Amino acid sequence: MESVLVVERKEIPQGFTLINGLPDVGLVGVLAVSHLVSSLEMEEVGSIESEALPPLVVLHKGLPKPPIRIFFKESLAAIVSETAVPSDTVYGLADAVVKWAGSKKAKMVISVGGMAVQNRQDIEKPKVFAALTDESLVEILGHSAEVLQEGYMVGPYALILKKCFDSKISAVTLLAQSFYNYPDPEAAAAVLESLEKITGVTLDVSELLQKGEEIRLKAKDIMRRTQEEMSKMSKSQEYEVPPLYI
Amino acid sequence: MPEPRRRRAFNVERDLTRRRDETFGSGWDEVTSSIEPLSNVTVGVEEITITLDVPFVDQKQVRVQIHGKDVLEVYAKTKRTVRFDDLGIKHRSGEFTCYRALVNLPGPVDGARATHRLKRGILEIRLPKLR
Repeated sequence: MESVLVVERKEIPQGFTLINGLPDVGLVGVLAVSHLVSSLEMEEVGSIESEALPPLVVLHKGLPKPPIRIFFKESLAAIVSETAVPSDTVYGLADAVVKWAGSKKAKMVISVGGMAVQNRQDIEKPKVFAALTDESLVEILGHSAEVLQEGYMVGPYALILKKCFDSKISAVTLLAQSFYNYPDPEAAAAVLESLEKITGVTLDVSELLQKGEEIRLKAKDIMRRTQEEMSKMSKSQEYEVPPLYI
Repeated sequence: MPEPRRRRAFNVERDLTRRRDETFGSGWDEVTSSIEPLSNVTVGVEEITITLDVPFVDQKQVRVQIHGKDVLEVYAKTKRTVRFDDLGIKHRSGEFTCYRALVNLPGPVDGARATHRLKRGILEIRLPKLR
């Protein structure tokens, strides 16, 4: 397993709710959490570093930034990646994130992403589903998402959920119906609406919808690279029914 | 059997596009001011479905052609010229006015019965299989 480090550049107080926005189906997590970070004007406080990640930096306002960064504001921390996560880094990344969340006594870990559906073109308002580590979280969820009872999850969010379960950290994975390999800002808006209800944070998602076409073009290249990594992880297994399902 | 000339030309163009993609990413062709869209091919029992992500396109500006029985060409003009600068991309300058895609289909199709629709910025092309 490749070594992955969580680097805090500023002191982050304990007890936060952690929101994960990693590249996955429809780039829903990346689009949603990027919007959350900019809307709340969250402060950049750290990053995730690994030699297994591509040797790149992202330039923002002329300054080099690591591709996976941590932001913080009040009681919310957010991890967002601007590069596709290589499939062989997924175990190390999930392990590092959950260990860090545990060490910081995170109140809850919420991962946001997409769930590919074939008829997405005909869906006006994507539905949001949730996978939970604990039945008691159903109450917090309210009517914001429908609980997934059976099925496969593949990728970093699957491992984060499992490791949170093992470490007794409350965790929710919110998945909005989305396109598989096309960036989906509408799905990102839908998942943020659910997140609002769970966290109590108020967000305006209208920009995500109004600038949808522009966002899709900007996200085209990272979507293409993410699709390559999803194929390596056998992401399509999420469509399948577990054999023990009766 | 030798490859038909037209098919060979498409394969050469597709390979060049792929090589350019590997070098520069994004599938942008400066000469034709075009960009290659993200696409997906699904093979069903009766038909082959191709979808393409084409933001800034109007249904009327879409042209779909089948060459031979198993090469799909899609051309879709954008509603406006899209400059990389408009997208916040500063490290390279350029623009595009259309999407172009050449897709080698996994089997022969009946081009005369092809249908397409554009919804949510996704172009969906349905191609009945030839039996």
